[in-house]
Formats: sequence, structure tokens, C-alpha cells
Amino acid sequence: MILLLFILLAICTFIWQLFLPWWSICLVTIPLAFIFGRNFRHVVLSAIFSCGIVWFILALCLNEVNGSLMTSRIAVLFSAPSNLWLFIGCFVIAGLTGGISAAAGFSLRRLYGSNKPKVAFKN
Amino acid sequence: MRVLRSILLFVITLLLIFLLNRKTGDIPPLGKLLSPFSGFWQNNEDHNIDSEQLNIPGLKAKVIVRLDDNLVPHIFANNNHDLYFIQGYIHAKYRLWQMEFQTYAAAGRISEIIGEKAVDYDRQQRRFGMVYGAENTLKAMLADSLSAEAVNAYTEGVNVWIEALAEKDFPIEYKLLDYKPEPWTPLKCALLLKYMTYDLAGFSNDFFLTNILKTYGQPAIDSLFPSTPLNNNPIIPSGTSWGFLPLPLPVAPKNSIVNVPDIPYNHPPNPDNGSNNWAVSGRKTASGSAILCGDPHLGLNLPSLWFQIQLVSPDCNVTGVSLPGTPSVIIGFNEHIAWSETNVDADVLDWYSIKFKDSSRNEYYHDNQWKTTIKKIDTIKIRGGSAEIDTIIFTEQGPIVGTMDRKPLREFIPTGYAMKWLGHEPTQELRAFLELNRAKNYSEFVNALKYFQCPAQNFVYADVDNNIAIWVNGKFPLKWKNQGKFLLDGTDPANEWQGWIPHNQNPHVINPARGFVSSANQSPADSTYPYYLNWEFETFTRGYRINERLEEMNSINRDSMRLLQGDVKNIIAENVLPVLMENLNISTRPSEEQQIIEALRSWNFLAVSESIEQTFFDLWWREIQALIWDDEFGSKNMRYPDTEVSMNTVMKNVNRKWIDNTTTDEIESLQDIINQSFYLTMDSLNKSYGSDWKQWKWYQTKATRINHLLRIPTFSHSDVKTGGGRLMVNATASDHGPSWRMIVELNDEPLGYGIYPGGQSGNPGSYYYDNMLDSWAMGLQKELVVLHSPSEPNNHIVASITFNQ
Repeated sequence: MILLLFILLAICTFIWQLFLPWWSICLVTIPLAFIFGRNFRHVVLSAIFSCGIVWFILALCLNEVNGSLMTSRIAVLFSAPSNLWLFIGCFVIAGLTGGISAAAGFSLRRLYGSNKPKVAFKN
Repeated sequence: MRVLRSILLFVITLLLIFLLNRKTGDIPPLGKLLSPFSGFWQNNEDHNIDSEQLNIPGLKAKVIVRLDDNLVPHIFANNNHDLYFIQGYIHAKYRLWQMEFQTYAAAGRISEIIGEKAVDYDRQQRRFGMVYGAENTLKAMLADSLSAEAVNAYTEGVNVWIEALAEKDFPIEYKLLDYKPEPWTPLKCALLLKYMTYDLAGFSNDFFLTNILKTYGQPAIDSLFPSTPLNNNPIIPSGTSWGFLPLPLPVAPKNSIVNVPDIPYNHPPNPDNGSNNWAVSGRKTASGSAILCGDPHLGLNLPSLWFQIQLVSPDCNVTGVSLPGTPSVIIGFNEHIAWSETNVDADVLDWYSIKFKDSSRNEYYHDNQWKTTIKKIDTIKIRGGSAEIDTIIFTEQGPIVGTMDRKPLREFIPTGYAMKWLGHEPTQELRAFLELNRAKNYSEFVNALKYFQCPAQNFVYADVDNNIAIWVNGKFPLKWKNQGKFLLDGTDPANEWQGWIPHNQNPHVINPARGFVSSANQSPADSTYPYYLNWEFETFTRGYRINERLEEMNSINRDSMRLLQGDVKNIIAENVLPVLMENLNISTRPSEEQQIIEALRSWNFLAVSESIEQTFFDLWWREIQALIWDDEFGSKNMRYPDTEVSMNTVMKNVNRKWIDNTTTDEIESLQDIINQSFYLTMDSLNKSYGSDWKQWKWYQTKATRINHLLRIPTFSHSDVKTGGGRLMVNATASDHGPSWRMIVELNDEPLGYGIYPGGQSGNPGSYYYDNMLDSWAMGLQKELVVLHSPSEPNNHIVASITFNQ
């Protein structure tokens, strides 16, 4: 169940951010990485993609509301060559914040010298 | 090692979040802004409007708001408290950022939002007494039961919206600048009205004129800056009998004019704030009902200055435009009457030289004695910096705006002078609008106008009983002729305002013989009017053209009125161009220039959007005026004579002394000036727009733009394709013009049409942000939907909001 962390992160960060500021991502990634992480690569990749994709998909949905009226204006504001760059920016910011904070969370576990997940699942 | 790694990762996480969560210089907080949970994505708004049911504590009864396909709300309330409560709520729902930002701008608080760079602006606003004036007006508002009810209910409504507003739903400007809305207060309504006063009656020429007088003497003033227009086509038709016994005028003391220190200035004022309005009697219309038209020319911005609305309560059913931030309808019509305003430009701002005892400025000499100044300590909060403390000194006349250590931004403000301004006094404009919204006939209209004091407006009126009228209306100080044309000596109280012109003696006329009334900011009355209002008014051209057309038009309908609002005839060109052509030495010109001359010769003087002639003439005329006046009046402390004086100079070949360029040895004649300026124009257009003269189209060179209030290009529209221009009836200049156009047919049931260059929503992520702009640019108007009951079926209605207690 290598995808477990990815799925949990996606669900929890989504719910969390409905009520809390955007940086509440790290309040989810740190404990989940601590509990479910296997190694740094697993933790970082899961967090980057889960956080990034949640932002990316929600941005895509909101963009569809009126044919990217605001998105296009903001793209011009940032001198971005196309709207796509805003979606990439969105993915990068969420991914970066998620990835680094998850690594921080997982690094705590390493302080205890344990490589194994706190909760074990059989593959 | 692992501990170190862990600490490092946590530090990086925190740092990253910190950096992405705050504004750095002009870069908005990227984390917040790009997050789809809270950022700009949330401001993408659906084109379709959903109906809603809301529970709002504070209402006395149920209120129904129906929204039409232009997002115009039609508010049905059972009492006036609820009416203005919901007007406040709706204004905030669609225009919160704009209305709040404008109150910050009025009060001199922009530094709180954007930091250090706005401090000079803020200080000037405060020293100008904007907050002082708004506080005085608020006292008057709250002392009046009708105004107090409206302004308090309005404030409640705005605050209900703000309190329920989640951060993700903040207007985009808050997200970009990273700040939050604060609670609304009645003072903010007063500030907003003062902001309009500042825009329309917050300018004076006294400083420039005094410099000119000191430098060139009284004859120059008499010939170039006369106190009566050369072409007088006044608002109140000549020959109208005044029907009152005027008050005696105060006598001018000797030596009232003072010496002026030399002060640098920044840029010339914007002369484009003008407007048109008129009404024609049923005698001249196809339907037999009166028609009223109005188009106030103001700065063209987004979000739009105006917000369309219909307000219905048991004693009120009014449709028109409102100012976000203020209760009531400002220009519009009800079941009985219609009205519209243009600016009078009366002189209600004068400057008094102050003789201080010493540099502490604690005492000043006035009325043969030393009096104590009042010092007010003012704190300008600055975002990301420490607050600036400023001391504002008040004398009996008013605040000292410019001091040597703190020079004002606006160039007309003389240093060390006290400012006397009607805008500082407690005035009752809100009461006037509340009464106008409910007026049923002429006498109720006049009664409402008594409350309207500043900025003085020309109120045009028409009713369903086929009456038309116009009032040059405001509170006017009783002045001797030319009092306040120049800076005044502040030690002698005889130089101060001696009283007021009684309201019933304001220039006005009802049902004049010519069958129409009109105003275009020109001189209010001919020389038989016994009082002095100002020495200079708007150049005659717009008023002349409107009157010329209305005189000859018959069987008028709303479409012919719409075309008149869009009239682009260049009256200056019509008068001046033949003289220029006569004086132009054409034999030696290359063929390309011959073509332009040919085109100008056969031009019909219409400044349509594609016109090349208008582009050429516009610049040529500016070059001519610069060549005539700049050597004498181009100094930073002076100004040019009015366009009308330039026209007279060229057409009659007078003022030859001024035509000569004093910076050259030769004596230039008018013919020399005309030929030189032709070369300059040709040269300049070639450089700016390329050598293919067929590309010099007027709309491209004029480049009309509708700027976002923060000048953010992506929220603005540039190169709007329109004809017209300054001093034409269709006064669409580069960033000024008809901010609202309205036509009302006063049938048994009045029918209105109107449009403004923008849209009802202040959100750039909404279809309704600018959906009316293209129609406006084409000169079209939309029917103004009027509903009679909250359940009336109407094809234009798309949604409704029900507010329950």
C-alpha cells in the first residue's frame, strides 16, 4: 500500500484547507509523514504529488466556472506566457510546501532511529 | 547529525511558509494568492446568477431584491430603514473594495495599504481638511432624522456583508495588496460625498492668476482672463426675468491682493470634469411628453463610479445610478419626475495669506489683533514603517495646506495660505437626494434642492406634467465681483465671505419660451444676474452646440437625443480652421502634406473615431496655443488663457503682443505661428505614429482607456474605440468622459434608458465587470428596467434574493 500516504494526504489536506489557511498543509503532512512514511523518497514524492494535485484539480474546477476570466487576467499580471503557468505555479507551491514539511515530519521519526512505519501494512 | 537535519527541515518549512504568506515589495503573497482554497481562483465568478434566501438580523421586515440581466438590483422594502440597509448590503456585495478604497483615499489613509509612497498624498488630503469636512457633514447628517436613518441603516447593511465575508471571498484587490476590509461607519458615507466635492469643487486658479497679475498687470488679466465669457450662451437664457430684489453686495476693500512667493509645481490640472444635461418640453417631442437627458463627465475608471439601482419602499420608487458608499439614487427618475446634474464650478475655495507672529506659528494677525492658531496633531499610519506625525494649523479661515517644509502635491495650493472652502462646512447633500428620490412635482423638487449646498450643481428637471426646469443650485457666498479670483489678504476680515445668496435667488428658470433647458458647465447667467459666482466657467463650445441643435430640432424622440449625446462636432475647428487655412503657405509643401491640407479643407468638423483630420487639428491647435502662450504663461506658477481667448486671438488676429515669441529676436506674426505649428504638428505625428498619415486615426491617437483604480493594466481597458473629445458634446477624452448617459421619456409612466462604461460588478473575474463597455463605446443605451411590484413578471429578471428577518 505504497499509495496509502498519498491518498491520506490528499484527503486530509483538502478537508483541512476548507477551514484553515493554505499553510495548514504542513499540519497534515508532518504527522502523516511521521506515522506512515517509509523513507524520504516515499514521503517527499507522496506529499509533492498529493498536495500539488489537490491544488491543481481544484484550480482547474474553479477556472471552469467562467472560462478562466480571472485566471487570464492574473496570468497577464504576472507576465506569464499562458494560463498554464499559473496551474504549474499552483502545483509547485503546494508541492514544495507539502514535500518539505513532510520531509521535516519524517525526519522526526528518524530521530528515533526507526525505519519502519509506525503502522505497518503488508504489501 | 539527524537532529541537525530535522531542525534544518523545520526551519526551511517555516521560512517557506512565512515567505509565501506575506507581501514582499509589490509582489503579493504567492501562497495565499495562488491557493485555490483562498486565492484568486475563487474570484472566478459564474455568469449565471442564482437565487438565494437569506436570514439577516437587523431587518424590520422581509426585503425582496430582484436582479436583472445587467445585474441591476431592484430592491423592494416595506420601510426606509430596510431599503437603505439592503442598499448598503448590495453595494458591499458588488463593490466593497472600491467603496472602501475611495474612503481611504478621501481620508488620506492610502499609506496604511501601500506604505511609504503614499505619504505625501495622504498628508495633503488631511491638510486639505477632508476628514474635518466629512466630520462636519456627518454631524449635520446625524442631526437630520431622515438622513440619520438612511446612513445608519446603510452602515448596518454594509457591515452585515463584511462580517459574513470569508477570506476566500474577499475582492481580488484585497488579496493582491494583502489586507482586510474594516467595519463601515457613517463617517465613510460622509467621506465619500466629500470625495465628490473634492473632485468637483476642490480646485482654484487664485494662485496662478495672482502670479499673472503681478507679472503682467491688470490689462493682461482684462484681455486674457476676462470675468465674462466672450461667447456668452448662458444656462439661464438671456432675458429671463429674475423676479427678486437682490441683497446689497459687499464692497471690495482696497489692496486685497497680496504678494505671492515663488513655488514650484508639478503638473497642470485636469480640465475635463464637465457634464451635459438638458430637458425638452413636450412641444418639441414626437410623443408630446418631456424628455430629460444627462451625462456627467468624470474620470472613467473600473470598477465603475456608478452603480445602477431601483429603490422601492412605501414612499419611494426611484431608478437610476447610485454612488457605492452612499445611500440613495444620485441621478435618475421616479414615477413623477426625472433629474440630472452637471457641475456649476462656483468659486467656493479661496486662499488667505496669513501673517504669523513668529516661526512657532502659534499666533496670527487678524482683525487688528493677534489671535491664537489651533493646532491639530495628525498621525499618518504607514504600512511596514513608523507612523508620521503631522501638525495641521487652523486659522479662522481654515487649514494651512502648504507649508515650506511640506510642499503640497497639487500645484495650485499656495504655501503658507489658509484655505477657506465650503467643503469644510456641515452640508446636507444626502437629505437633498433622499427628497429628490421622492419628489412628486416641481415644488417638491425645489424644496429638495434647498438642502443641496456643495458641490453646486446645475439640476435639470422634467416631470410627467410636461414641466421642464433648471436650477444653478448650491450654497453661494455673497461676494463682490472677482472676490477670490486672486489670493486674498488674510489680516483683514473684509476680505472674507460676507453672507450667502438666498436659495430662491439661485439662477433658475421653469418652462422657458424656447422649449428646452440645458447646461454644459458654461456661464450660468448673463450680466443681468446681480451676483458673482465665479470669473471663469467651462468654454462655451458644448453648451453652444447643444443649444444650437435643440433650437433647430423638433419631433424629438429618444433616439435623436441619444445621437445628440454622441455628437462629435468640433466647434473650435469649425471656427478656427478656415482662418488657419487662409494663413497657411501651401505652395511649397510636399505632396503628402498637400493631401492632408486637402482633407482638412473638406472636413465636416466631425471628430468620429476614424477621423484623421481630427487627429491633425487637435495637435495643431495645441501647438498653436503653446506657441502663442508658452513663452509668457508656461511658467510653473501660471496657466494659459482659456481656449476661447485663443480662438479669439486667432480669428480676430488680436493680442499681437502675446503672439510674438519673446525668446526669439524676430517679431512673429500670427501667420508665422500658424505655419511653424503646422510643421511641428506634421513632424510630431510622423514621429509618434509613422509616416503613413492614413493611419493617424483619432481613436488610436486619443487612446481612450478605462483604468482600474489601482492602474493595474490587466484589470483595465485601453484603446477603447470612441470618437468625440474634450470640449465636444460627446466629451470622451483619454480617461475622462460620459461616466453615465441617461435619457428619460416622461410619459405617464416614465421610461428610462442609460449606460455607463463598465458593469455592475467590481470583480474583474465576473462577466458583469465590464459587460456594458462595448455598447457604451458604440453610443448605445439599455432600457432601464422599472418594476412596480416584487412579483411582477419581466423578461429581464434573472434571479432574486429574499432577505428574511
